Amino acid sequence: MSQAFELENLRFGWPGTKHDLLQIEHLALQTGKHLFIQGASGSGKSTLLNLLCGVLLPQSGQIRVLDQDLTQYASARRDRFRADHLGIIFQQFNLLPYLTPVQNCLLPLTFSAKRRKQCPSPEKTAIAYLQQLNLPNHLLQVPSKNLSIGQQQRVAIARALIGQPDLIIADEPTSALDAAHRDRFMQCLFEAAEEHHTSIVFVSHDLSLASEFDHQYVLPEPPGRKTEGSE
Amino acid sequence: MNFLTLSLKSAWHRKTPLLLAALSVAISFALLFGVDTVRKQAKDNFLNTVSQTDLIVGARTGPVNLLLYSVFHLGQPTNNMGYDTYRFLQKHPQTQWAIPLSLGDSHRGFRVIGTQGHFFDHYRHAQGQPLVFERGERFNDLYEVVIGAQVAAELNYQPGDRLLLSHGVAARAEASLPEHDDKPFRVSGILAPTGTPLDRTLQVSLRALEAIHLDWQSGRPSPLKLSPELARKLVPEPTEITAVMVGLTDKIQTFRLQRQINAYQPEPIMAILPGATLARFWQSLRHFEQAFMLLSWGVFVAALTGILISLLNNLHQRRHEIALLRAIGMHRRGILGLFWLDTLLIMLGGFILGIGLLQAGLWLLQPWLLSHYGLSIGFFLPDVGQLKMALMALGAALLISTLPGWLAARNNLKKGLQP
Ligand SMILES: Nc1ncnc2c1ncn2[C@@H]1O[C@H](COP(=O)(O)OP(=O)(O)OP(=O)(O)O)[C@@H](O)[C@H]1O
Ligand SMILES: [Mg+2]
Repeated sequence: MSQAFELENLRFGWPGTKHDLLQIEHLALQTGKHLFIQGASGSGKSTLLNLLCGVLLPQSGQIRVLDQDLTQYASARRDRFRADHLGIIFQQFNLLPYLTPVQNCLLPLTFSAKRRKQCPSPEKTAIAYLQQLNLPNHLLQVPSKNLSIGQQQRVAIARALIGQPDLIIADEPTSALDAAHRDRFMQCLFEAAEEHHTSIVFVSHDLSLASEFDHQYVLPEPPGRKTEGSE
Repeated sequence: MNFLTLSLKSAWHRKTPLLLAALSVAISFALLFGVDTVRKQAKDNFLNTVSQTDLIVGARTGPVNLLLYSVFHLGQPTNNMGYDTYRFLQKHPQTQWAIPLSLGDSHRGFRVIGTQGHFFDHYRHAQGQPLVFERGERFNDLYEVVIGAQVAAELNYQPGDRLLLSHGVAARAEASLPEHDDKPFRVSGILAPTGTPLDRTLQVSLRALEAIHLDWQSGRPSPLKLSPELARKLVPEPTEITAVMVGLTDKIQTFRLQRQINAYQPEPIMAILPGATLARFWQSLRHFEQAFMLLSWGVFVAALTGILISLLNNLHQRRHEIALLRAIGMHRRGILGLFWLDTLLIMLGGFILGIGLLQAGLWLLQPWLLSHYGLSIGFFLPDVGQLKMALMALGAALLISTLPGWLAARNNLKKGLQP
């Protein structure tokens, strides 16, 4: 059975800090499954996602994403890997404001020949995705800065999905949205992922979302933190 | 969409700050090219004033002084030389031709040169160019005058017009000088522009100068008036002139003849080699030239600092954009590329704008430069030397924009993707 990702004996500490922020014995996710990660603010959720993306490297341990050990790769190769296989959604600022939603959706094809190949008619696909995500037609070709935050986050889903990546990594994508928009977002994300059999790693404060995921993982308070008092 | 179009779109999105930076670069380029062009062309103009004249002879003074008043009509000659000496030079076996020059009168701020008809045969400027008449011909009659191109243009004279000469040379063009008002001159011809001080002079015969001063005593009109026709009959041989231009039959004899003239017994005179003296004089102006170049490079450094500041400002503004591009797989070196592209656009825009600015500026300033300094400066496109300067500037700009690029890349590594 192939894994979306697998962490083993992972240790990571930011340079210049005394204690390791992350210490994970083992964490894995099967292909096609959805994982919800929660943890207190500052517990290292975003840091963990950066490690999964191959932007940061751990002090020790293994990070296998799609059965490839990222810690063995040089930075250029990790960048290419990210371009080819991952779709990333941030909490906000997911779009280049001067590009239209359609152009924003096509962005991941810029750096990945693999995804260009997997998306033979990019414009059409982008428009189809955006329509599926209920983005009004008249917004498809206007600069993205004119979109509401909720609309922008939905465009981000389409952008993450284009060219059929294997894993979607989302860092609190709903925290800037109100309840109605949040539910709409979650529904869109799951539908799209279901359709393409895409694995998801999803980080959020919002525990009410957890139940919709196959697996959950709680990041422990980082060591050395308790003495500083809680936030 | 490839990376280049993407970055161009991003630049277009930030066009106002980029344009402002480009504008400051444009001003620097215009200054840099402008100063360089003025420098080069002023030098050419200057060195081309006299050509194929082997010696200039005048009363003993400093070589540069003799050059300045005989060729550039700047300042006053300290002493005159005897006409006999001119005859000696003219008859000398090594002399091919000798042109007498007599300075001292003026016409509405323009100098009058007393000379002889063969002046127009032998005078050469630039790379040996002879004088050409745009209209009319040289003076034949005693009361005829030839005028330079700028004199004709500024005072709007035509051949056949009559004009009066003034006694002496005024410091300011408007100052009133006593006029030789009873002996008007007829314009016989107008010279084509030469780009030399000659364009701002009038030429008459030596005898004409004698004739109009015949009834003058110690710089004032005497009560005894002579009519032009009477003066024509009574006019004597000149006794004094200001300088002589000499062409030799054999250039190899130049130094020998110079020594011989410097040792001339009957009166103290000296001979200079105009080319060498011009070059030496230009050398003495070098630090002005260097100061100007230094100044324009200084302006350039200021503009580069401006670029750096605007890029550093960008660093913060563009962190979301950079995080996003990194997330979709852009390598960290791509960040450097983004900053380089910005710089390239600024420099390229500044270059083109700067050329336009300089062309427009010179077009506006041209009449003023010409009338005040006799400088005719033309600039169309930068020459090879100036292109090299531009490339150096571009190199420097790319180098300094590496700093914000590198900072952004390092930041990205230290902080991960969090925008
Ligand atoms: N670039 C950095 N250098 C040093 N320390 C950092 C850096 N980025 C984050 N940290 C520290 O690492 C810890 C975890 O940060 P991280 O952003 O991963 O937390 P998080 O769980 O995502 O928090 P939140 O829920 O607020 O987003 C924090 O204590 C933070 O101060
Ligand atoms: Mg976070």
